[in-house]
Amino acid sequence: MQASRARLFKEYKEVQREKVADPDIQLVCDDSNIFKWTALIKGPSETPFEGGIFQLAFAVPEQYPLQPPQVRFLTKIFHPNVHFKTGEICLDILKNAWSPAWTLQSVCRAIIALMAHPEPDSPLNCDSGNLLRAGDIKGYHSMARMYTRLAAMPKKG
Amino acid sequence: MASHLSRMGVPQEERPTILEKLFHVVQAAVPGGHIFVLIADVTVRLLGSFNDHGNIAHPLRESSIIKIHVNKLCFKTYEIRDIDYHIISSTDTVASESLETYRVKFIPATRSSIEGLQRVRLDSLEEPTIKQNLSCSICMNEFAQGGVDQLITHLPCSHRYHVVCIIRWLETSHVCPLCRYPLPSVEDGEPSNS
Ligand SMILES: [Zn+2]
Ligand SMILES: [Zn+2]
Repeated sequence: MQASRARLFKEYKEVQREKVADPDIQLVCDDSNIFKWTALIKGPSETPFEGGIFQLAFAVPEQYPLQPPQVRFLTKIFHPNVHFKTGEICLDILKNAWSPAWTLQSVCRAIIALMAHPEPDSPLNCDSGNLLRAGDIKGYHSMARMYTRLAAMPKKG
Repeated sequence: MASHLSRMGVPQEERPTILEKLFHVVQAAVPGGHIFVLIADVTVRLLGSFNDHGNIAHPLRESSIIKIHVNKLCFKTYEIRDIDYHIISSTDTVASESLETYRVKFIPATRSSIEGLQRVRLDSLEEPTIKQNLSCSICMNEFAQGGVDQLITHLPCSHRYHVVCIIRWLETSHVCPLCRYPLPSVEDGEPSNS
């Protein structure tokens, strides 16, 4: 518990310093609970998520960094590796490939990379995975784009 | 459009609602673009017969796609099987409940490999080593910032950590946090309590 607090505080200070360095990630710690964080990430360019701002919720366990943080999308996203309803993310580094050398900031970067490089063979969103596996890139792109417009972009008017 | 709905077996009384929703979407959509219609509320026993991907290994998991051309707008109707939705809604609550207790199961390193780690005081390390490997990746603290008596160790891959930090990790998982170099693990056959 003490170790996780100290480490999170360290990351907090690091984030304050790096803020300018990574304009695609805005990581914020909850005012009253250092184990709760949220992040705003920019959808990577040349993907259907471009132009969207996606919100992530982090729940950091007391055993952190021996155990990975639990991360999910709060913003609706159509992506093979994200559960369409719960926002749960299927990403190896959040599971068995976790290492304490990862930070909340670098996890955000890994999620941005996943957005650009979906893994249709381990789908949490079968509809999205099936489109990609069937080679319907255009269909996947259009669906993902539609949800980016609907959920991750500021409403017009 | 109505005839497609009837062909899909959508009950008469449900059709106006669906058409109304569709109309809503069409109005907001970019002219000439693709419109995807997800009919999620409809029960879907009928879907099998429209399945385009019958040859795929898991035909049950495939959602079927019907292409409907209305003038120049291309409608693709993605139907999501009712079964999928039931599964999703029933596991939903379970997922959020288990969230708090969820732990990844790693494979710890053996007791003997942990005890066999070389332990050296910071001040007995040569200066360049500390400069090269500035901080411990587990606690993120710089070695140079701690006391000279702090114990440092290196794994066979030569990555350095605080002894207290790496022991906590190796008791959790047997791989180096930085390069995943594997130490002997309790699943390699060696007893964990030697
Ligand atoms: Zn350390
Ligand atoms: Zn290593």
